[in-house]
Amino acid sequence: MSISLALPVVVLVVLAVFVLVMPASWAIWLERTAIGVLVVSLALLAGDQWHLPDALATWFYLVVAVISVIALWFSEPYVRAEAKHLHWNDAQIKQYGSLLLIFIASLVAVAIWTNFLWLWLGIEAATLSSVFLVGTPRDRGAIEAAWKYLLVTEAGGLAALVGTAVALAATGHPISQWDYATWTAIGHHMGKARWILIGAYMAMIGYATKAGLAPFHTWLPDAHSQAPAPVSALLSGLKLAGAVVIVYHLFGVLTPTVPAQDLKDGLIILGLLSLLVAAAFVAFQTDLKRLWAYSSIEHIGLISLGIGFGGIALVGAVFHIWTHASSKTLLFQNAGTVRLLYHTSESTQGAKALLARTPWTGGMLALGSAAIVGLPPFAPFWSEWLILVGGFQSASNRIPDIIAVGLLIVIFSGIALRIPNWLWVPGTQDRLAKIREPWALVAPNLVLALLVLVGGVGMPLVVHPLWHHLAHELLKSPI
Amino acid sequence: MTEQLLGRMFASLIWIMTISLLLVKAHRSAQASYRLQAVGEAGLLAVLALNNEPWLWLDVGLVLAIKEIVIPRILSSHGEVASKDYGAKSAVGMAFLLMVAAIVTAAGLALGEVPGLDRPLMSGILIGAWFISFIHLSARYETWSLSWALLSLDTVSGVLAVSVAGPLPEFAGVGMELAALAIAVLLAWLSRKIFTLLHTTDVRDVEELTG
Repeated sequence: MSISLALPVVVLVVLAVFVLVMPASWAIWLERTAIGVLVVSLALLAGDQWHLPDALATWFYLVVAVISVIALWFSEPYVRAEAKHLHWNDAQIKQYGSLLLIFIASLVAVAIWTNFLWLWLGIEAATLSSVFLVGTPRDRGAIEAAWKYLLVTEAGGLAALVGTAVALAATGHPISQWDYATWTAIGHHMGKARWILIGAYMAMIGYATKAGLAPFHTWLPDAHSQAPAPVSALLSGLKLAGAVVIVYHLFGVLTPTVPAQDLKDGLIILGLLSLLVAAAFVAFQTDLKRLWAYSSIEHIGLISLGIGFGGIALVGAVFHIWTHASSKTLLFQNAGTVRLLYHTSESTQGAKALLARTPWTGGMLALGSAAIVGLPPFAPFWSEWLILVGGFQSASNRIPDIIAVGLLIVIFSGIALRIPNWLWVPGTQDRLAKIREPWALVAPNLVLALLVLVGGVGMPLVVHPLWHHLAHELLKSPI
Repeated sequence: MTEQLLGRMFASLIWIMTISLLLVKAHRSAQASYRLQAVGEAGLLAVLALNNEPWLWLDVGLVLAIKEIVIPRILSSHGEVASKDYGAKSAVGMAFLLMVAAIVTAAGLALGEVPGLDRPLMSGILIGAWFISFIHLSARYETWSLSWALLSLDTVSGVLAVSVAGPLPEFAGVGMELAALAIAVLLAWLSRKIFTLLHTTDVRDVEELTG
């Protein structure tokens, strides 16, 4: 691995260590330094002074860096309020700040590293740091959710490790060459093709637990609802997609020996199951964060379907990484604001009449909800459209795409049915007074709302050469 | 030849202790089984170290230090609720679990015979143990037993990955094992936390964990 790929990760980890050892008052400045590091890296990337292994790595890094900057920005006022409300001590504040930076460092690693064992280490670091972040409030619910998260995703992580080792060892490459950027086909090893397929499916199931794809999603609603809001946002927006991107890279190097369709079928099945689970549960949620957790299962299912369909749908899936990350970060951070202002995010326990009592927060919930149900011109509409149209165009069998469309209609109807409970269904009379919305909490979400509004068309235009190159590469991809 | 035989013996020790962890009725017995499973892991790594992978000796030392001393100590402290629990709260009976263990072991051995693996019998035994530890995760209801299940899965997965990956460069071999050990320590630490917070050892009584 080159130094330039290790450097951003190392710098963020060093900052995380400083957060832990320095006084708690330093944490804010160190987190601001981390924002600076990410912004500088984006500037270097834009100025063609820093090169990443391929267009997909560059695209995913772009998403990771932009979303992480906004999450760190929001985290500062959010944690200040949460710490005051829940009586966090200095040690908890330092632990949170340090783990958040390690979590972001590991997401950066997943985006830009290329060796499969290093990628596994990256996603493991993301899991373990986020397990502790989920448990940060240290109450019973948070610890139980963290434990469940650890139990399910570590079982998956270990399956992913064994699967990756089995599949790549069967290709005949020595371990030092298990790198997608420098991978060269060394001939067909048909005798070991069965082991490649077995390993690939084991790895896919393992990474599917990390991604929260059904039926391995059971940890996700609990972890998302208990975690501090910026952590829920990063978990949903970046970590889930990171696990699927690793599977895409792994399948990409295995396809010379194993037929691509054999691998892609698994992703289509997992994608449809995820949509089915989301469709079954989304309409019954009364907690805003759990609602978005089930919506995350749906979105990651769509990304999995897009990769499984291939062609234009694959381009849509990669674009959906961005549209999902921006819209879900908005919604989770907004749900965090609701929890802070109303002391609950449950519509049955007082989080009601948001539009009347907190117009900015309610307005952004309305905007985010309209985006998440796939309405144009919001960002998710474009990527979902590409995935579904691509599914019709390139898949050998159109039935999965038709089922997906049906399930999406059910999911979107379920969300549309639920959202009025928060937005305008009135609470009791004593709960109708207006609540002051701190600008420090509103401003980062306003930026996200703008990205959700115009990012569907704007993002590919702003990074036009990269997007053009990426789309060209994806359309050539055997997966 | 001797190395192959030793490899199979240590793999069998791991397999037996994986079954033992699935069936034991007390937290203390699980500790003993886990320690013996770690002996099997260290032994297997030593065999691989003899087989031109000398850096794995470092792993042998780390496994013995952490899995024999550190992890059982973390899990035995502050675990009053777990330590008093005696029983086998399982979705099915113990005899049925044994039968399932036998079936998945046969499946593991059959899978090991699929052409392509360097050490078919040893790998087959380990794959069987791997399946058993997955069954353990869904077959038992006690929180302490599930913690040991994941630690058992961690051990079997680590050794399986190292053995199927072929000759390892020093950094990768040590790195993989270090990652598996770090996960085990963190898991043990978090399990201890859950023991101190819960007044039950049965996951079915825990609302969050069922929904």
